[in-house]
Amino acid sequence: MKGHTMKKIFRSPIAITAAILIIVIGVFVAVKVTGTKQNKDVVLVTHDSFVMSKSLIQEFDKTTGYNLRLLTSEDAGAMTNRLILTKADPIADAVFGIDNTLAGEAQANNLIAGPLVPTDFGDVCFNYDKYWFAAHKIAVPASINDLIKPQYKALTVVENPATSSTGLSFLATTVDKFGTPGWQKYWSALKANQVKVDDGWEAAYYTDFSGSSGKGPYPIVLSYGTSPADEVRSNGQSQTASILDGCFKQTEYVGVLKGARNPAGAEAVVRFLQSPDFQATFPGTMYMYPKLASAPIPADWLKYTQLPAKTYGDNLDFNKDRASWLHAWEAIFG
Amino acid sequence: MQPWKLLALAIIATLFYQPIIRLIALGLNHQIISNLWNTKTLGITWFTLWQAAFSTLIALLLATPSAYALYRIRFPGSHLIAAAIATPFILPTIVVAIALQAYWHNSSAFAVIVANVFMNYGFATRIIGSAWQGIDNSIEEAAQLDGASEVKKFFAITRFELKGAYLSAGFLTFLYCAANFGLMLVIGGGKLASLETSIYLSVSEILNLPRAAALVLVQCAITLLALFFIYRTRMAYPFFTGSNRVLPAKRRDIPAICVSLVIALSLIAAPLCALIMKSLHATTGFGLHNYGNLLTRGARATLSISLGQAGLNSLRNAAISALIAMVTGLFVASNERSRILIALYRLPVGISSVALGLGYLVTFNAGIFPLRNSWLITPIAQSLLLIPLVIQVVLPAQAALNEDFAQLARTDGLHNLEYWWYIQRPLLKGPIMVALGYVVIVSIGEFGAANFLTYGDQATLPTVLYQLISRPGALNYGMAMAASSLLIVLVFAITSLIDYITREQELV
Repeated sequence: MKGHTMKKIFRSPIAITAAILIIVIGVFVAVKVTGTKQNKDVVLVTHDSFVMSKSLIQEFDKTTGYNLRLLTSEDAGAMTNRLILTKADPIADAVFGIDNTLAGEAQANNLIAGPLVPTDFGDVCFNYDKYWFAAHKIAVPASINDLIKPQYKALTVVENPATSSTGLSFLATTVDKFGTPGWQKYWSALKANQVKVDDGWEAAYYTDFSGSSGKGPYPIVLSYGTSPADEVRSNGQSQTASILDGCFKQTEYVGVLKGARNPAGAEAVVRFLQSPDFQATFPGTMYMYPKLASAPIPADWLKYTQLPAKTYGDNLDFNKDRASWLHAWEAIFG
Repeated sequence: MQPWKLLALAIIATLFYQPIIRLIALGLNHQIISNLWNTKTLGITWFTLWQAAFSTLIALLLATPSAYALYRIRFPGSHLIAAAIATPFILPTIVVAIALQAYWHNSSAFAVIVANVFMNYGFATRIIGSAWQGIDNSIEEAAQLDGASEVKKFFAITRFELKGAYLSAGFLTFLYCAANFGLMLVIGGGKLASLETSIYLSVSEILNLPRAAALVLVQCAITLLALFFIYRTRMAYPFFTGSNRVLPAKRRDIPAICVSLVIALSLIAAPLCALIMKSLHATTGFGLHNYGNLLTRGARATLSISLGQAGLNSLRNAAISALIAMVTGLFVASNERSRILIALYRLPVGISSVALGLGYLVTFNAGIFPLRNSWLITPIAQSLLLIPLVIQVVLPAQAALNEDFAQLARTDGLHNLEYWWYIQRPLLKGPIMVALGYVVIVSIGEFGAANFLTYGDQATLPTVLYQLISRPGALNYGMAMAASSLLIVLVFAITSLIDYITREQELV
């Protein structure tokens, strides 16, 4: 009997058509249902260094009535590229972490609705290991001009400007400071002086740099102006200091994504990241200075770090020139 | 049955050929020549080819004594060793990369070749060994009586009989080594670039889609060429597997056994055991601390979700992609006479998962089928890469079934599907279980497509592992090693099971 009914089902054109229709409609419905978010949800996409505490997320949810979901992406550059690829149907409502090296690209691709609002800033500077230079009785470097001198041969590690925003910031610094073709000459001299190029900041700082936890072989690293505050040893002194001549001022932004499903919620996120409560967390969690002048700065920072008197590269057009800089850079290092 | 076939055609057209053609179309602009013909692309292509070719040669060389020792003859424990050396082939590539890096941190081309051999040696051994089992040994015995040594016998006789198996294993190994995305990305560490990693980096770093599409074109050309040679080889030198001419080990086999034991221990077991040992050494001391951390999100909350949650995502994706791949794959395989349908479904094996993921990303963005927004996008993309595997396992077993059954069934008026359901399905239980096992393992380890298609709370185990090892730090690294160790044990258990099922089948 069972076989007979099965036979019927296998053969009836109506049953077959119905089954196919059910499968097709089922797939569409499944895609639709799993792809739709709750009305109260607001999604903030961020680069992978973003930190927001549970209590701040709860505070946001409570004060705004929305339900904040964080979407951690790759580093800022890869995140921006992903957003451009998916802009027809954005993966989030708001974005944090596009910085001044990427803002032009984001604007040119019509990624953002309304303005990009600055939230925080920091300086990309070289750090050096004070202990290493004291032990080897070599004068500490004072400017990026020193890095091509023979006494600093094979002591420096930088990040690849094609893969790291930190690296790109330094490339821009040299373009601004030395002009064209001065910057290419500078990089050729750096290469001849055996500079090491890493793919990302974490590898350069935590693995190759001698002054941090990795205790690597390189006593000079491209990092941030605030990094020395994290290398304070038991004697109350920082093991590292910044080279203040040749820093780049990096500014990070938050903005509403064009085509956001929940633009009002995204606006609320943009406002929240500017609020005193959130601004106060920038130094502690993301090692950046809050944009809000009244937000507190950690005492350690005031004690162990200095702001450079002059920064380079802020005035450059990254969107227009990045490709040609990288091309020229790869011709030197490729 | 026409409507079902039409549906199958519509599925493969929409979900595979559409995204691939759209992606390649992005590269077909006035810059295609300059994108293809420049020193960088040529250098990347050349490196992809030679590292694959070199790895293949070494893998075949090492596989020869092992194929003899582990398949042609039998000694206590040979089954277990055969299962152990087959494990790396189906380990997630990202896990292989983590294991080898824990053992030997190096990002040279040589390290990549070692990794390729590590993955494919057991696989090559299996293909050659299965063919070796099928050889009639009377000629060899005659040579034996004439006093020929093992090595002489091999070069004079056996190597001709195994030509088909060697060519098959060689081209397949070459194919896998030319598409070793996860290995190249992690071990190459940005210093070495193959076609696949360049496709990925062209998108994530410089967002140059035409360049990525041009590289996809080159990659497709290489894999399709390799597939063509595999097909030709199968036609020209058919070899039989499954027949069981296993000989008891003799005294003169001791050198072959020793050589394979040394390779198995030094190449396969040592890195895997080293990884498991290292995973037990957390910064806080010996113990299971790294395993306890698997439920956290890593140092400074690197991850959006914990590894445990990522594991659940992977299991969920595996369940869905296995369902789609098994149903579709078995249906397509049951239509043995629709050669075009089968060919259309088998072709995806020649497309890199990176290319398919990118194709999905640029195709299913918006419009009537907004798949990109749904987490279903990852299992659906993965299932298309798995269907060829199902067909590959089931089709030969199906062909081996007695043709008389089919004749009889048709004269009795049974339809294709009915014949499949009542006659073939019960007889093919073994191969179907084997296919299911492989499909689940491959889906859990799939990295190339998932890397493009998952993010945030949808991340899968391999993508989360990649995030962890890209952000150095003892805690993250410890977690990555612990999760990798668990996966290795799991995969070894499943391969042993598959091995057991296969052997049971052969005895029937």
